[in-house]
Amino acid sequence: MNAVKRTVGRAVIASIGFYISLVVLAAVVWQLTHYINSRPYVVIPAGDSTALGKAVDTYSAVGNLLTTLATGLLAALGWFFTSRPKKRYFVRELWPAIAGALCACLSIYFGYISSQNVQWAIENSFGTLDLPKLQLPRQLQFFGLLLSVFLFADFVRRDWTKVD
Amino acid sequence: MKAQRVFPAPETLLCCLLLFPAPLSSQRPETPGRLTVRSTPPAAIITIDDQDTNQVTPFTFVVSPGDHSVSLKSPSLPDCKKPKKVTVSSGAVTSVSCTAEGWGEPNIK
Repeated sequence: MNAVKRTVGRAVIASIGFYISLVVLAAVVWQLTHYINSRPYVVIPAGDSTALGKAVDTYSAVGNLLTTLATGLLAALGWFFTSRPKKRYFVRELWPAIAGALCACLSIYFGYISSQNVQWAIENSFGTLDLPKLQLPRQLQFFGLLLSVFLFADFVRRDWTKVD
Repeated sequence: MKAQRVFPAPETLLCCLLLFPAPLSSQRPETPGRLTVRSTPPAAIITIDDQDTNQVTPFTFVVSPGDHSVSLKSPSLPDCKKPKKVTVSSGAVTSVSCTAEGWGEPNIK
């Protein structure tokens, strides 16, 4: 009876811990977004619209590619867990997969912030995309994806070399 | 054995709280302001926030709302080398001009 109580208690603590860490993560991401969006800037208004149009097209194409890759990575992670007979994993074996999924989600979020800020820059006739407000979310999107690829690869390597 | 809840209310509420602020205006940068810098005589090099802009007067910049310091480099305008603090409001056009006597008061439209 005590063992059952202990297991239930552990599950409740894990559940509460999960939601608290979600709230903390959301607060950190909002603060980071606020920091990015409140950077001061001085730019010249848009002049050569052809060059700027091409820069925006390139920016959008890379943004779309990164978002697609991050989504694909999440799908691959899901497939990895569901396509095989159910296994029991320890937390120490799962953490690269959890961290990889988190980085992929953050990459998608910063991709959204990046595209939103580019749209905002176009609406306000900015003559350049070379602003911290636009470049920081884009870098976070790229490095988030890169990190998630490394973590996912590490998880797969550990899983394949695991001795049961 | 405890029955599983059909509608996980606290979890759904938490997800809404976490996800809904994203599309809110606080996630979007503020509308910028415009800063017009003029001088008499014209063609003075404009420096804003201690950075050379590579532009000469008269010129209009798109700037973040808030305080900025503007100074001019011109041999005929020695008093304009001293930075002038200008507050730019979101969506407004602020004009500032400098003459041989020094900086005038900013004009906000």
